[in-house]
Amino acid sequence: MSVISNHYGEYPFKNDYIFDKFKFTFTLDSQVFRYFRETFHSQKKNLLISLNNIDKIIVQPSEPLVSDLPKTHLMLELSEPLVLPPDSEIRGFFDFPVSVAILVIVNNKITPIDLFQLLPYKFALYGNSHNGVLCRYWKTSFYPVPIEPRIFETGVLEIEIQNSSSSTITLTRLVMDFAYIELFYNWTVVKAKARARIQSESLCETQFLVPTDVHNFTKSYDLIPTKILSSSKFIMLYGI
Amino acid sequence: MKIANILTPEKIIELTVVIVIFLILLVLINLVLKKLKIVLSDKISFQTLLVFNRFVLWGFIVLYTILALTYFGVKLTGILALGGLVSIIIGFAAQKVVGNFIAGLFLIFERPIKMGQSVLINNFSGIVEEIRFLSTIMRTFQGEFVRIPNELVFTSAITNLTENIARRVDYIIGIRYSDDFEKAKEVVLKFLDLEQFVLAVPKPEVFVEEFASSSVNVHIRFWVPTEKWYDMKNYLQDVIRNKLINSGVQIPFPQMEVKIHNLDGFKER
Repeated sequence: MSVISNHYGEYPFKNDYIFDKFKFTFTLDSQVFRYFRETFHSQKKNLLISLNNIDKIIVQPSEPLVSDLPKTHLMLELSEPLVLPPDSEIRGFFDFPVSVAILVIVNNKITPIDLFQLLPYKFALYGNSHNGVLCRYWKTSFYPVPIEPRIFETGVLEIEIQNSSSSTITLTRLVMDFAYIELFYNWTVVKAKARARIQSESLCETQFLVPTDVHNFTKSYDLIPTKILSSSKFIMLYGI
Repeated sequence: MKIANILTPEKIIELTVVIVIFLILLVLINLVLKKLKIVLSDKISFQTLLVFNRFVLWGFIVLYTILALTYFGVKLTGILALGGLVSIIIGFAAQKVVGNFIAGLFLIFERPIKMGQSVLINNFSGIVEEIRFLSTIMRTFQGEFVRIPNELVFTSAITNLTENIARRVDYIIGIRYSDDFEKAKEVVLKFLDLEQFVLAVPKPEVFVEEFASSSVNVHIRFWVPTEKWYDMKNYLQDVIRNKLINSGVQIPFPQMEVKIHNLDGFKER
């Protein structure tokens, strides 16, 4: 029996799941499940899960984490620079990449089993190679109104940008630590929220917040464990 | 004083008990340190844990020995005075050892190299296996075991190949004088843009390096995450070459044009 669908959410356990751009199967092999996933660009994954019973499956959007190079910073580069007058504030939207996570539920216990991307990914260096950070790279535009994200590929990031400096600032990029992102999703839309406080042309503080208006949305299960005793804010020291 | 007078049956029993307690405590401390190593392995570096373990173990051994000697009525002042004299003699004889030990401490605390990093020290290149108090152990890329005295490590120029998070890859590829450089540049940049581990920032660069005798030498440079540097450097060179060839750009081999001005005279001879 198969599940044919194309949205995020919780599904009853079946052997086959077919989505538009990916599919996965579970086969019980004596005491373990064999999991096989394939994406439309032939990315394959095979693994054994040491369970003999699965209650439900969750297909959810997750942090834009790449298993091959697990870096937790995201650089959003603007295709058109955004000019901000002194002491001003603007609210708008960016799109950002999401990963797809497959989780299994057994006795109300959630276990992530797979994480993959349907979009090709790139990385970028923010700062220098000694003191900087490696970030997942994403080129985006600033949208004054909410945009329609692409399911299983992108989400919508609501952003508040404050220019606290006394000079006009041209914003070309933002770097943030997505280890602290709070993702909310419904069937087709993924939402997150962030704030950027610009102090000067070379200094900006970014932070993820809880998005507003998430009624009827589900919070994504965090794949990156919460860091204790560390700040959720990221300070951009090498220019904006 | 005869040994028989000192080693009475009671004393032998006491000594045995002291040794047994020492061994039990040693096993217990080792167990606790092993557990700590597992629990703290994702929070503290392996090197720091190793140094901490050694300090705890040796600290315990020294402290227990002092306590045991005091218990058996051995006067420590005499030992200390003797120790002072011995240390002067050893000090003269083992200046190098002391130098290595102090250099080892500096290496442990300053941390110019860490365990698991790829480094180049004094003509040796390889992976740091362990930083001991007197020497640093390296495994060369050919798999050989190298022990370098810490003083030498500390006073040598060290190239740490994996300390920084990103590294640049440089290739120089020659194309024919008749080839279109702009086209070659476009082919390479387009290809690098699709490669997932070639960093988008700093942007890859392609420029003419040199007008050489048989080719126009094109310099290609781009940055990759350090952990992917070796694989990418090896993989991309051939792929870029093939991309250029497939787009009609050719990689020339050295050529020499010979012009003979007086062919008739050459024939006569």
